[in-house]
Amino acid sequence: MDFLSRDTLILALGVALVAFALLSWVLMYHWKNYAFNFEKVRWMTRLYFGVAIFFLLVMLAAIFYARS
Amino acid sequence: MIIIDPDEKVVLEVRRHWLVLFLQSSFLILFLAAPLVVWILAVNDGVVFSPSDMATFIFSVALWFLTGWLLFFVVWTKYYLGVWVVTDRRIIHVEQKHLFSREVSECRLDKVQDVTVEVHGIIPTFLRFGNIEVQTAAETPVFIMKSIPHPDKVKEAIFNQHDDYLNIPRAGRIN
Repeated sequence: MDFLSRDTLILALGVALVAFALLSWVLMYHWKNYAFNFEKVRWMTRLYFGVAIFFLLVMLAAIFYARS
Repeated sequence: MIIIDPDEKVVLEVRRHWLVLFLQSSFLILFLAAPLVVWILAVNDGVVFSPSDMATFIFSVALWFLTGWLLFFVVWTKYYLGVWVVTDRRIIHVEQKHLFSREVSECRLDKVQDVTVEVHGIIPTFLRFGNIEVQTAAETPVFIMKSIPHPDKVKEAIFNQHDDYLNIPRAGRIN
């Protein structure tokens, strides 16, 4: 990962994290208004955000591993 | 917004058959297997990864899987939020087109005129799924739900609720 600096990559991951959080919130808000039986689909956004965070953390760990 | 009245009873909530979800997301299996194939080819060619190369590989694989997860999530959303709800008063059909796009149709049970079940092919016959068409006298003349499991039972449930709603004695039907 010499093509980008560590700070740039971490910044990009941070932006991605915020984007996922925002998208999850918008989805939750949208489904709250329109989805049938919202309580049952609430876990979907949690799952969506949780898995996305997991992969982002793996990417972050790879960055630190490369530079250690 | 779909509001079920407090004294309204939900009789049935039906989604498409699981095979539909499987077929729609099957391309992801190939998509997600790609890094594994690259890894096996590299190892077979005797490529030795330095710690930096390994970190780049893990980073790329995580990014690849994240993309695959996003694609799967869109497919899953369309599957899970597309639903038919049969209550003791009406039929609600929610067609989830994209993440933020959906179509919701409703039909009161007294507007139901005819229900048709279609099962085409060997796999739908064995796995017991098919299409249901509900002819109505409402603004939306035909309700169609494709690839739903046990369409005969759904048809029976609609007819039973229709008869109960109109206080018609239940009669024997062709199954």
